Amino acid sequence: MKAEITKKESAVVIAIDGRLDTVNAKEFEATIAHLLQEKNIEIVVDCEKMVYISSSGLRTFMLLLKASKANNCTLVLEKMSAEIKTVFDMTGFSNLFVIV
Amino acid sequence: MEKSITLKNQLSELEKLTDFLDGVIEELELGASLGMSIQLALEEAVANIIMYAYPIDSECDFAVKALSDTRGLSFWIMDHGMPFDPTILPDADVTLSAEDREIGGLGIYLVRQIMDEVSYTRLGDENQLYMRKKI
Repeated sequence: MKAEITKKESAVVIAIDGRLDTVNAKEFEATIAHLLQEKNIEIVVDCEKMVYISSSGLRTFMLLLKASKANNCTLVLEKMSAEIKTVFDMTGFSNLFVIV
Repeated sequence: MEKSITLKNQLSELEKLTDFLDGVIEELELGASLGMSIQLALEEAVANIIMYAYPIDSECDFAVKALSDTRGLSFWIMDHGMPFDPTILPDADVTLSAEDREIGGLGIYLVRQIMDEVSYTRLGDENQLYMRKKI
Protein backbone atom coordinates (compact mmCIF):
# COMPACT_ATOMS: atom_id res chain seq x y z
CA MET A 1 0.00 0.00 0.00
CA LYS A 2 1.15 3.51 -0.82
CA ALA A 3 -0.60 6.65 0.35
CA GLU A 4 0.22 9.98 -1.22
CA ILE A 5 -1.01 13.32 0.06
CA THR A 6 -1.22 16.23 -2.37
CA LYS A 7 -2.88 19.64 -2.51
CA LYS A 8 -5.31 20.15 -5.33
CA GLU A 9 -6.94 23.57 -5.53
CA SER A 10 -8.69 24.00 -2.18
CA ALA A 11 -8.59 20.33 -1.18
CA VAL A 12 -6.09 17.98 0.38
CA VAL A 13 -6.16 14.72 -1.59
CA ILE A 14 -5.16 11.38 -0.06
CA ALA A 15 -4.56 8.83 -2.81
CA ILE A 16 -4.46 5.22 -1.66
CA ASP A 17 -2.74 2.67 -3.89
CA GLY A 18 -2.94 -1.05 -3.13
CA ARG A 19 -4.26 -3.07 -0.18
CA LEU A 20 -5.21 -1.36 3.07
CA ASP A 21 -5.02 -4.30 5.46
CA THR A 22 -4.18 -5.36 9.00
CA VAL A 23 -0.45 -5.26 8.25
CA ASN A 24 -0.24 -1.69 6.93
CA ALA A 25 -3.22 0.16 8.44
CA LYS A 26 -1.06 1.62 11.24
CA GLU A 27 1.39 2.96 8.67
CA PHE A 28 -1.51 4.59 6.82
CA GLU A 29 -2.77 6.04 10.09
CA ALA A 30 0.67 7.59 10.72
CA THR A 31 0.73 9.02 7.18
CA ILE A 32 -2.55 10.88 7.65
CA ALA A 33 -2.13 11.68 11.37
CA HIS A 34 -1.34 15.38 10.80
CA LEU A 35 -4.56 15.80 8.80
CA LEU A 36 -6.57 14.75 11.85
CA GLN A 37 -5.49 17.99 13.53
CA GLU A 38 -6.38 20.31 10.64
CA LYS A 39 -9.44 22.54 10.92
CA ASN A 40 -11.85 23.82 8.25
CA ILE A 41 -10.24 22.04 5.33
CA GLU A 42 -11.59 19.95 2.49
CA ILE A 43 -10.30 16.36 2.39
CA VAL A 44 -10.74 14.07 -0.60
CA VAL A 45 -9.76 10.40 -0.45
CA ASP A 46 -9.01 9.05 -3.92
CA CYS A 47 -9.87 5.34 -3.70
CA GLU A 48 -9.36 4.52 -7.39
CA LYS A 49 -6.28 2.37 -6.80
CA MET A 50 -7.32 0.92 -3.46
CA VAL A 51 -7.92 -2.75 -4.20
CA TYR A 52 -8.76 -4.12 -0.75
CA ILE A 53 -9.76 -2.96 2.71
CA SER A 54 -9.98 -4.84 6.02
CA SER A 55 -11.49 -3.79 9.35
CA SER A 56 -8.18 -2.16 10.33
CA GLY A 57 -8.43 0.05 7.26
CA LEU A 58 -12.07 0.84 8.05
CA ARG A 59 -10.95 1.84 11.53
CA THR A 60 -8.62 4.46 10.03
CA PHE A 61 -11.44 5.78 7.83
CA MET A 62 -13.61 6.08 10.94
CA LEU A 63 -10.85 8.03 12.74
CA LEU A 64 -10.64 10.37 9.77
CA LEU A 65 -14.42 10.84 9.69
CA LYS A 66 -14.69 11.58 13.40
CA ALA A 67 -11.79 14.04 13.23
CA SER A 68 -13.22 15.79 10.17
CA LYS A 69 -16.59 16.22 11.88
CA ALA A 70 -14.98 17.51 15.08
CA ASN A 71 -12.74 19.91 13.13
CA ASN A 72 -15.39 21.23 10.76
CA CYS A 73 -13.72 19.70 7.70
CA THR A 74 -15.47 18.23 4.69
CA LEU A 75 -14.58 14.66 3.75
CA VAL A 76 -15.35 13.06 0.40
CA LEU A 77 -14.40 9.59 -0.83
CA GLU A 78 -14.14 9.26 -4.59
CA LYS A 79 -13.62 6.64 -7.31
CA MET A 80 -14.29 3.65 -5.06
CA SER A 81 -14.45 0.23 -6.75
CA ALA A 82 -17.59 -1.92 -6.49
CA GLU A 83 -15.74 -4.44 -4.29
CA ILE A 84 -14.65 -1.83 -1.75
CA LYS A 85 -18.12 -0.26 -1.86
CA THR A 86 -19.57 -3.67 -0.86
CA VAL A 87 -17.45 -3.62 2.31
CA PHE A 88 -18.61 -0.05 3.05
CA ASP A 89 -22.23 -1.20 2.52
CA MET A 90 -21.84 -4.26 4.77
CA THR A 91 -20.57 -2.19 7.66
CA GLY A 92 -22.99 0.72 7.31
CA PHE A 93 -20.09 3.01 6.37
CA SER A 94 -21.86 3.96 3.12
CA ASN A 95 -24.45 5.82 5.22
CA LEU A 96 -21.80 7.75 7.16
CA PHE A 97 -19.44 8.88 4.40
CA VAL A 98 -19.97 11.06 1.37
CA ILE A 99 -19.04 8.73 -1.48
CA VAL A 100 -19.02 10.14 -5.01
CA MET B 1 -10.12 -29.50 -3.28
CA GLU B 2 -8.43 -29.65 0.06
CA LYS B 3 -5.48 -27.50 1.12
CA SER B 4 -3.94 -26.43 4.37
CA ILE B 5 -1.26 -24.09 5.65
CA THR B 6 0.53 -23.58 8.94
CA LEU B 7 1.09 -20.01 10.10
CA LYS B 8 2.98 -18.38 12.97
CA ASN B 9 1.40 -15.84 15.31
CA GLN B 10 2.95 -12.81 13.55
CA LEU B 11 1.04 -10.27 11.50
CA SER B 12 3.58 -10.60 8.67
CA GLU B 13 2.22 -14.14 8.18
CA LEU B 14 -0.98 -12.63 6.74
CA GLU B 15 0.85 -12.33 3.41
CA LYS B 16 1.22 -16.12 3.35
CA LEU B 17 -2.48 -16.43 4.11
CA THR B 18 -3.27 -14.13 1.15
CA ASP B 19 -1.14 -16.25 -1.20
CA PHE B 20 -2.69 -19.45 0.13
CA LEU B 21 -6.20 -18.08 -0.43
CA ASP B 22 -5.30 -16.77 -3.89
CA GLY B 23 -4.45 -20.40 -4.74
CA VAL B 24 -7.81 -21.62 -3.44
CA ILE B 25 -9.73 -18.82 -5.21
CA GLU B 26 -7.93 -19.43 -8.50
CA GLU B 27 -8.40 -23.19 -8.39
CA LEU B 28 -12.13 -22.85 -7.76
CA GLU B 29 -12.44 -19.95 -10.25
CA LEU B 30 -14.38 -17.86 -7.77
CA GLY B 31 -14.01 -14.45 -9.40
CA ALA B 32 -12.83 -11.11 -8.00
CA SER B 33 -15.80 -10.15 -5.86
CA LEU B 34 -16.30 -13.46 -4.05
CA GLY B 35 -12.55 -13.86 -3.83
CA MET B 36 -12.18 -10.55 -2.03
CA SER B 37 -14.95 -11.42 0.43
CA ILE B 38 -13.23 -14.68 1.29
CA GLN B 39 -9.84 -12.97 1.64
CA LEU B 40 -11.44 -10.43 3.96
CA ALA B 41 -13.27 -12.91 6.21
CA LEU B 42 -10.19 -15.10 6.60
CA GLU B 43 -7.85 -12.15 7.22
CA GLU B 44 -10.14 -10.90 9.98
CA ALA B 45 -10.46 -14.30 11.66
CA VAL B 46 -6.74 -15.06 11.42
CA ALA B 47 -5.61 -11.55 12.45
CA ASN B 48 -7.77 -11.90 15.54
CA ILE B 49 -5.94 -15.07 16.52
CA ILE B 50 -2.51 -13.58 15.80
CA MET B 51 -3.26 -10.45 17.86
CA TYR B 52 -5.20 -11.87 20.78
CA ALA B 53 -4.95 -15.65 21.19
CA TYR B 54 -1.43 -15.90 22.55
CA PRO B 55 0.62 -14.28 25.31
CA ILE B 56 2.80 -11.43 24.02
CA ASP B 57 6.25 -12.58 22.82
CA SER B 58 5.27 -16.24 22.58
CA GLU B 59 5.86 -18.00 19.28
CA CYS B 60 3.16 -20.45 18.21
CA ASP B 61 1.92 -22.18 15.09
CA PHE B 62 -1.66 -22.62 14.02
CA ALA B 63 -3.32 -24.22 11.01
CA VAL B 64 -5.82 -23.12 8.38
CA LYS B 65 -7.57 -25.73 6.26
CA ALA B 66 -9.74 -25.19 3.19
CA LEU B 67 -12.09 -27.78 1.73
CA SER B 68 -14.56 -27.48 -1.13
CA ASP B 69 -17.41 -29.92 -1.51
CA THR B 70 -21.12 -29.88 -2.33
CA ARG B 71 -21.84 -27.69 0.71
CA GLY B 72 -19.55 -24.94 -0.54
CA LEU B 73 -16.14 -23.75 0.55
CA SER B 74 -15.31 -24.55 4.19
CA PHE B 75 -12.46 -23.29 6.34
CA TRP B 76 -11.17 -24.48 9.68
CA ILE B 77 -8.77 -22.45 11.78
CA MET B 78 -7.21 -24.50 14.55
CA ASP B 79 -5.09 -22.85 17.22
CA HIS B 80 -3.87 -23.71 20.70
CA GLY B 81 -4.31 -20.22 22.12
CA MET B 82 -6.62 -19.04 24.86
CA PRO B 83 -10.23 -20.24 24.59
CA PHE B 84 -12.09 -17.65 22.55
CA ASP B 85 -15.50 -17.99 20.94
CA PRO B 86 -16.03 -15.14 18.45
CA THR B 87 -19.54 -16.40 17.66
CA ILE B 88 -20.92 -15.19 20.98
CA LEU B 89 -19.80 -11.55 20.56
CA PRO B 90 -22.71 -9.16 20.07
CA ASP B 91 -23.03 -7.76 16.55
CA ALA B 92 -21.66 -4.29 15.91
CA ASP B 93 -24.53 -1.80 15.55
CA VAL B 94 -23.95 -0.55 12.02
CA THR B 95 -26.95 1.79 12.11
CA LEU B 96 -25.42 4.26 14.58
CA SER B 97 -24.26 7.75 13.56
CA ALA B 98 -20.56 8.50 13.12
CA GLU B 99 -20.49 10.26 16.49
CA ASP B 100 -21.87 7.22 18.31
CA ARG B 101 -19.97 4.51 16.53
CA GLU B 102 -16.93 2.76 17.92
CA ILE B 103 -13.74 3.29 15.93
CA GLY B 104 -13.06 -0.42 15.53
CA GLY B 105 -14.61 -3.79 16.32
CA LEU B 106 -15.77 -4.70 12.83
CA GLY B 107 -13.53 -7.71 12.19
CA ILE B 108 -15.71 -10.50 13.50
CA TYR B 109 -18.81 -8.67 12.28
CA LEU B 110 -17.42 -8.86 8.73
CA VAL B 111 -16.68 -12.58 9.14
CA ARG B 112 -20.31 -13.19 10.09
CA GLN B 113 -21.64 -10.98 7.30
CA ILE B 114 -19.59 -12.72 4.62
CA MET B 115 -19.84 -16.34 5.69
CA ASP B 116 -23.03 -18.44 5.55
CA GLU B 117 -22.04 -20.42 8.62
CA VAL B 118 -19.64 -19.69 11.47
CA SER B 119 -19.23 -22.00 14.43
CA TYR B 120 -16.76 -22.51 17.23
CA THR B 121 -15.67 -25.59 19.14
CA ARG B 122 -13.15 -25.99 21.92
CA LEU B 123 -11.62 -29.46 21.66
CA GLY B 124 -9.24 -30.15 24.54
CA ASP B 125 -6.72 -27.30 24.34
CA GLU B 126 -7.64 -26.41 20.76
CA ASN B 127 -9.87 -23.67 19.37
CA GLN B 128 -11.62 -24.68 16.17
CA LEU B 129 -13.30 -21.96 14.18
CA TYR B 130 -15.36 -23.29 11.28
CA MET B 131 -16.58 -21.05 8.48
CA ARG B 132 -18.50 -21.97 5.36
CA LYS B 133 -19.39 -19.98 2.27
CA LYS B 134 -21.73 -21.19 -0.44
CA ILE B 135 -20.04 -20.94 -3.81
